[in-house]
Amino acid sequence: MSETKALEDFRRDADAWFAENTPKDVGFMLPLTFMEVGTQQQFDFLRDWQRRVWEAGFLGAAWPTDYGGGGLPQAYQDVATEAGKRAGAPIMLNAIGLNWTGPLILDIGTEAQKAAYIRDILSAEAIWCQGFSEPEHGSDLGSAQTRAVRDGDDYVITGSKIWTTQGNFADYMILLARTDGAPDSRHRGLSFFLSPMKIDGISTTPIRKLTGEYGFTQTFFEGARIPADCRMGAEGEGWKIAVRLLEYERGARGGQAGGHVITDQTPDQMIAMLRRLAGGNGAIADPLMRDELVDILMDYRAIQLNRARSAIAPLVAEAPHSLPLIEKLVWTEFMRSMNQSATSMQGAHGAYYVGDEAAVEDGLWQRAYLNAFSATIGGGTSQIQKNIIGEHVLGLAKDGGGR
Amino acid sequence: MSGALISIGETEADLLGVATKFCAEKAPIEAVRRWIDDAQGFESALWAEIVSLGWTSILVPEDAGGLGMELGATIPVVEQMGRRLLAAPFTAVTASTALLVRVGGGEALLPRIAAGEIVTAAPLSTPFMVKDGTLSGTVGLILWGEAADVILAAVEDGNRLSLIAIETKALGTGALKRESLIDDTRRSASLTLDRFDDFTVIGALDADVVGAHQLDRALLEAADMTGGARAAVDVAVGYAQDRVQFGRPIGSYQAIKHGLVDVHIGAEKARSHLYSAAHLYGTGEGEVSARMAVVQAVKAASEAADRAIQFHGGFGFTYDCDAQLYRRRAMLGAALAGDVRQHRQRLAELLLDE
Ligand SMILES: Cc1cc2nc3c(=O)[nH]c(=O)nc-3n(C[C@H](O)[C@H](O)[C@H](O)COP(=O)(O)OP(=O)(O)OC[C@H]3O[C@@H](n4cnc5c(N)ncnc54)[C@H](O)[C@@H]3O)c2cc1C
Repeated sequence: MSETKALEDFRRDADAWFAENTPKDVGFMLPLTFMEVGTQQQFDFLRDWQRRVWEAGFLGAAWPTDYGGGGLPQAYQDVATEAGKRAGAPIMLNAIGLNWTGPLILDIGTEAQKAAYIRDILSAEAIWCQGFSEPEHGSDLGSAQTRAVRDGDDYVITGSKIWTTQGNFADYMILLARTDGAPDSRHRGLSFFLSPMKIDGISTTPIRKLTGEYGFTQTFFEGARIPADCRMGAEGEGWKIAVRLLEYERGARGGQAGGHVITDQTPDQMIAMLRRLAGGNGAIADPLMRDELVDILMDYRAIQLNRARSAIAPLVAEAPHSLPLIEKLVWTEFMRSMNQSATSMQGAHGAYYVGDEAAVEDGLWQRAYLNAFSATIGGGTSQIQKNIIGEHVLGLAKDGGGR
Repeated sequence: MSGALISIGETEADLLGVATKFCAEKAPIEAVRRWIDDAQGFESALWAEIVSLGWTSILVPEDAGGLGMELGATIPVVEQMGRRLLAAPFTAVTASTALLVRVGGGEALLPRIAAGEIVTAAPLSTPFMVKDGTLSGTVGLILWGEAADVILAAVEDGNRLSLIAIETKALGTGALKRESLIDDTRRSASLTLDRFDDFTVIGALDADVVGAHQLDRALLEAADMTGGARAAVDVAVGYAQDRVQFGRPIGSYQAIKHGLVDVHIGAEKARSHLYSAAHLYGTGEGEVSARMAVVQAVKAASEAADRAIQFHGGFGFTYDCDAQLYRRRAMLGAALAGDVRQHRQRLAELLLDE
């Protein structure tokens, strides 16, 4: 059987599976993004959903079979991911495991780490969270102050992390902590840990988000003891590993398990919504609105073209890193701005939010706009992305902050 | 599969490689400055090299001795010329060739173009009036008109529009007059005729052909501006790396750094739209992709060169600073590409109504 034929069959199977298994109406609000997961009900449902997708072979299809993957070429997983999106399937819950911790472990982890963690990431048996940001150090991640002090076969962790997505549900955390005694040694003093969460000395407090719901947590470490073999890489190599992890997180490096972890609105959906609001024949007549929609459609097209162009060697020959590095900034800012336009174009309807009968599409666009900030702030803010692009793509001198 | 929005063929990729190298080598900024001071505005020897590379044959049909390719194939060449501010009648000749192919009836001219003769076209929106079989009036914005061997123009007879060709050696002295353009790296002329009858009719012009020709020209200008946008970003980045104020390179300040990232992203978007248009031009998706390429190129080139001037400080206000060359070339480009507002209005119709 030819490769293309096999892939076509796979696509058909994936479409059929998602058509049959995608839940129609679960009776409660399904999160748009893995960062919106708040209630136990949402968590339980999504955990079960992810396991089913994995069991069906549509998650981790390109990961090694030794650790629960499908051992297929990447194109298969891409097809499966697209099929899930097309079907309007719920998101994958274990995003931090699937899309950044997993690929990192497969990339630079030990055999023991791969054997211990990868399968459970895919099955959602073990949920991962990320302990990078701290109350006093967010963008300036290299200055993180949480301490890991070696004591025999353990490290003793003290300090606090914050904005921990799924912190109250997680079984493990990728933790960046300071193993060096000198408080001002910055990057060089950091080490990287694959830390258990459900142990004595670690507690989480949910934080209320701008949407009014509870979501991410502040995470406290009060002398928590974790085995020394939780450390990934050597002591003091944590910064290097964290930077590599962020490349997976921002999509600048491939190898993710796949499955969509964010349900993105599209300009087509937005236009359909506006046509329904317009009533009559659905014509969009307002010239200013039309002009704004042209911008939105052009920018959306540009993003798709950028992605496709980054794989066409002659068209990126002079600066191969540029398109992957601008992707996060351009995409997340686009989503924020499109959702903002979608709410403002609802006129007086824009006043209503989720739960009100008068809200357009149950407040989806208002909710999507507010949630869009999770991507323009999380994973390195847009301003920090601009520093990175300015320095690493354009070759400009480092920011004055003295990093 | 043909469904891709963007792709590049092997021939086009080769052309891009050769054009990138050629334009960088042949049009260093000192040469550009030299051409600005030259009356003709370009070097005949360089034009001969361009012709010998076969670039003027790209659009010429095979039976007339050319390669018979689509307009999209010329995009890499025009982009790289725009990037280096290279002065040559290439874009004008390319647009004229495409026009002759569209109209038909230019069999005698096409082999001459392949051989390097300069055929340029007056804007079709400003026809000469026909009276008793002769032409009178003045038409401007004829690119490289003084250097041209042949000028194509629209003529209006009653309500019939036709395309005609005029051999410039048949013109009286003073008929062609150099115009003062916003862009010093290019040349244009006005042509004044008074009961002139020494012209050849090429064929009838209908609204479709006129519209298609205007879009051809707009797309070529988009390519020139997309190259220019890249170069303007690079020029500004270079200065931001070197210039030190308050003890630090100015590029370390975010007001500069983030501004440069914004225009860099604009230039990347423009390039994606451009090569999508080059790929899709002539298909059902061609018009949308071409108009998007034009709108984004105007925006990217204007903003990049605008910031390039500002980020050079006082030096940016001088004629010696190259930033103005890109800004002014993009101003001409935008004018030649047609009003951006109209492109946007048409895009709204295509995307929202049809
Ligand atoms: C929904 C959500 C989920 C998150 N999930 C996680 C998670 O799971 N794990 C985790 O570790 N973190 C998480 N984060 C935290 C996120 O990574 C940080 O919020 C982010 O890196 C910014 O840090 P900060 O909040 O301390 O803001 P600050 O760094 O204090 O920034 C405040 C403002 O200053 C700007 N700024 C800061 N430094 C500079 C500079 N050098 N130049 C220009 N502007 C600058 C920023 O762009 C921002 O606008 C999450 C955040 C959100 C919103």
